[in-house]
Amino acid sequence: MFTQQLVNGLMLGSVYALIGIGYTLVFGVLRMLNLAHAYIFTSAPFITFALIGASVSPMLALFLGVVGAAFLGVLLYLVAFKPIPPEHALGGFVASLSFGIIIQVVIVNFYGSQPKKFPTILNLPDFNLGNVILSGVQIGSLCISASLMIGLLYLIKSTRFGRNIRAIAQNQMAASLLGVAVPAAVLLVFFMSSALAGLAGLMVAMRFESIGAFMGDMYAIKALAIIIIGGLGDVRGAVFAGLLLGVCEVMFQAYAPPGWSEAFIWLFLIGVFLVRPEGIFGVGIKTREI
Amino acid sequence: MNQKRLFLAGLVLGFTAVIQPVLAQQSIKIGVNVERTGVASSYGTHMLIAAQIALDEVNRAGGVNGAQIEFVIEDNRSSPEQAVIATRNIDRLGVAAMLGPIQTSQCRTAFPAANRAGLVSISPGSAAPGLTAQNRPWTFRIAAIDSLIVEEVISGLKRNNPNVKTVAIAVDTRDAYNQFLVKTVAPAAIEKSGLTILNKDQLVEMAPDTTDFSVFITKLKAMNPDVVLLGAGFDPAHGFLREANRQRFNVPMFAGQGYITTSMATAANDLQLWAGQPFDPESPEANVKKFVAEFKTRVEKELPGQYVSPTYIDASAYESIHVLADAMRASKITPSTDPKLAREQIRSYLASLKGYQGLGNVINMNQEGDTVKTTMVYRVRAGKWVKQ
Repeated sequence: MFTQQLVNGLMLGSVYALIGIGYTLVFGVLRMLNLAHAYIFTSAPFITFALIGASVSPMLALFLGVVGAAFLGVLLYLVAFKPIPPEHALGGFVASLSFGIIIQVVIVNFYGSQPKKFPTILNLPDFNLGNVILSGVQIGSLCISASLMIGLLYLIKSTRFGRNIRAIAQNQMAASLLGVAVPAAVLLVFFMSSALAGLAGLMVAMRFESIGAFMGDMYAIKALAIIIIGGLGDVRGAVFAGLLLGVCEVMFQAYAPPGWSEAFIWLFLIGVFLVRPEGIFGVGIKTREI
Repeated sequence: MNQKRLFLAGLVLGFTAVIQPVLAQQSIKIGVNVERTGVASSYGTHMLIAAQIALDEVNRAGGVNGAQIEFVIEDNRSSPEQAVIATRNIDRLGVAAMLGPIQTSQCRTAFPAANRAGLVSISPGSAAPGLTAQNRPWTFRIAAIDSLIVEEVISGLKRNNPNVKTVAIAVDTRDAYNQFLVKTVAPAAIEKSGLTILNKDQLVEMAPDTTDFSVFITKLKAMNPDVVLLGAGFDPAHGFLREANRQRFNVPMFAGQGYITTSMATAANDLQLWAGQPFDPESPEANVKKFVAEFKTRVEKELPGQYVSPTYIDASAYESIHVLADAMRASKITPSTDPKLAREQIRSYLASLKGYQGLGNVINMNQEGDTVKTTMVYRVRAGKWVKQ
């Protein structure tokens, strides 16, 4: 049972990691929390669901779900972040939450509040290793999280775009004076971050074959915890914290006294803050050398 | 100029004030306190359709004592707090009676409020024992009684699986109905049947809003039970059953009410899931066939893609509206009858209801305000419910 629960935890954690990567990316650059992230996570499966309903091929619908979420992210930046002056610390916080709630209301009005059956798109088989069952979709999710983390780290550390966003994260004004096209780079960050959220939403929808207007709510608070535990703005931290939270959550649910598992999870998070108040990795995009 | 406008506005307001009560008096109002949104919205939206079918039938047949009946609908958002507010709003509007709420969680708060207000309330779904007994004399249920249903279901399950000896229980921590079912109602029935509960003091508790049930299925598998009692609401139950299928955890399972829908059978697929309810949508009786066909037509139009076969809740809502219409006819209630008197007469009719022909069953009201109906037991076979 322990090995299976460990696998269950890693699988759940891989989804948390995928959400956390996108979340932390925006924070790393703008130093503002994007509270619409969990709602964009929800939007992608609904875009795919609508397209499949309109007879679009499932694979294309999956791709368009991610692209749709990415463009929602661009729209989010244009209406909820760009017009807010940087010195207004809570402006983006409130505007992004409002944007997210509007997405949710649109979904509820078109599809109702009850969960819908999400069609089986990728019929990935489960694998048996002795008594342990590995879900095909979640292995995919784990692999995607790992590849994206490696890809994003390379992007941030070793490319011109990465250097630009690190410069923006450190000092937006100075980056601009040095010739960095700040609006374009930030727009691209939102595009990527929202595409990742959409991808995570689709992973969850395919794994559980169910979608609902409120499916992002549970992940919203946990994603926030992930980026803080991992170190604000740190991609490696988001992946590590996502996996850690997934494993801890499952282990507490499996072994803690009934009714206490949720309390133990949050108690554990408080413990992490006490030991590492700056987060597990703690440095973030901003303070690494340019 | 301003004085002239003020005069005209006053005239319009005065006219409205005079004409509104006259218009309002042309119909008799029934309040509907319903889970239209929130976690139980699947039940609520379907129940409204069933109640509307009954209302349309009554009105098409000439209404009640020459007056039409109309609904005043209040959404309780599947929330116990909101159910109280909905009850108060309905009471203020001077309705003759109230249908709803559906779920026990909402009835626990709405019933005391209705009882204090002297408002006749009928729940078409709540099944936890003793709830109406605690809220005499104004609350009733034309639903089912869980203790009787669980006994029948276990009995059917044991007949088909004579070697089963142990039961493990999993429950949704936020679902009051299911908490009551697995902690109070079911244990007595399980022990009476000779089965042993493996985790009576260590229930597998599923966290609220969970979508990943893998941890709970793994935990249940480790207990190695012969049978599982699933205490989860409509939406989480789907996820639980799908995960049980994925982990090939195929011991017989049984649950409370509200499970006999096509989507639940699809989610259970190859699992041997058992449930019971006091309504058979496949009954050959003419009134059942007519109701089932009309329900299917309306659901396909109003709730495309959702379950089209009525549950016992829908059937009970339909029966409740007809019972209320008959109560009003028998008591000669008209739109001009004093609401207090109308409510008292309806209450008195319901309290002595005996031998009422419902949808494929006969309804008798007991002293506690609950109806006793015959239980039909079902199990899933290859993704479909089959009556046993």
